[in-house]
Amino acid sequence: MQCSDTRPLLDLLADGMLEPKDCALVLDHLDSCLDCHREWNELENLRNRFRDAKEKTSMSDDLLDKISDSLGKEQHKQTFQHYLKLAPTMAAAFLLVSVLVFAWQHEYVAPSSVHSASAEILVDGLASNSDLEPVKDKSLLSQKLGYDIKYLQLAAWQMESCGIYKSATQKPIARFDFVRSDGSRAQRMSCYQAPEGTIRAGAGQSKLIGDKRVLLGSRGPLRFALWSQNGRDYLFVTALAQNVLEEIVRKA
Amino acid sequence: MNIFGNRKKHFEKLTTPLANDLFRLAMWRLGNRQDAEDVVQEAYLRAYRSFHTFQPGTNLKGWLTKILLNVVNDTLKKRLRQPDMQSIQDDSEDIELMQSSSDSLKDPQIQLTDKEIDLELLDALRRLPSSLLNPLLLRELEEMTYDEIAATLEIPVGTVMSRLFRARRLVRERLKVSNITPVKKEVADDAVQ
Repeated sequence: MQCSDTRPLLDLLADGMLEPKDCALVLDHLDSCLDCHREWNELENLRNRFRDAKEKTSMSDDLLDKISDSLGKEQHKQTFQHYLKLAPTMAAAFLLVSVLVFAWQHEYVAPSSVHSASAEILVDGLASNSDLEPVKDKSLLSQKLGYDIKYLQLAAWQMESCGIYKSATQKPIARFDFVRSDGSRAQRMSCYQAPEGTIRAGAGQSKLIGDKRVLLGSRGPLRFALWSQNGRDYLFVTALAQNVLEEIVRKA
Repeated sequence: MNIFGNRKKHFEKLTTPLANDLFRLAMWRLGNRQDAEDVVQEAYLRAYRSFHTFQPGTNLKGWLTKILLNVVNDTLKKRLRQPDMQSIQDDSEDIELMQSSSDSLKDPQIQLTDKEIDLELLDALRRLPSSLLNPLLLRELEEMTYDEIAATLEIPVGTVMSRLFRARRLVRERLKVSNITPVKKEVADDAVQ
């Protein structure tokens, strides 16, 4: 083996990249050639210096802390940027929810809260009559109300007066005041009528009377019965006993 | 802990054991501890930002080393743009030439101590172009195989072999010259003339 063949292979020998057969050839040549041996020693010397340099070079103790700190800052930055990217989506979602809530309040909540009447308020309103507009001619009632009156059969009861219960927040409600004679004294009852879904009661006892599902309740000395029939809400209010009221409702 | 916290924890768990290797490489590329620490920190930040591109199961050390060498390259470019270096054109050849030379080396306050570094070796290395220096450092300091060096530097294995051969030969020649005492060097120079 010639020196010119050996020299390029010394690096490969040092790096352990030579085949065993080539290794043996190069090592044989090194044993017999002083120049190549000197070259090999220089190479080994260089490698030793690198090995020494490697051992002596180490990072400072606080470098890992510095790296961790800067990664922490970067993490916060990325978190902030992440939420910043989400901001338009969140704003759009908030806007959508706001619009839906607004629409719901105006389309679905409003009919119940603005156009419906509380049975309790109607019962209380009997005493004052302040919101009642008397109507002398019963035939004009439907025209003034804007919807047809559907009369019920109330045997023995005489209609004393009728009128329209009005308030700014609800549909007009028809009111009829009845009277009947019970021997020594007169019995009175008032009946409200409005399109179905107009009158609601906050509390009461639900009871099936005949074929009617009736909500029964009381306000002070007065008792009331509320039910729906023929597309109308009926609210009967009287100071009579509950069993009497139930019997009236059953026959109505 | 949120997803970002978990990501940081996972990243640190994988990369922290390689920090000393990266620092060593940076220090022998730049010849200065402070610059090396800055470069390693920046390399970690860049790696963290692009951690989603790392494919688990592939060579993490090679991936980090590639990022580190890019940061080193950027640092050297920045030096070229500094006012006292304006006469040097900013192109790859200049970077090749200046590579590991560092003004800070002249400052005894921040210069590495003799105990810590082989200054003759450093001086011999800093004259090498980075195309020769990078394979040499990856082989000698990081003990990478030829294949790993080729993958990290994105060059053929044959090129790695030839560059290692040239780099070692140049470094040995320069170490020989630096070992000649001034008187001997004078005699040697006369002999050459």
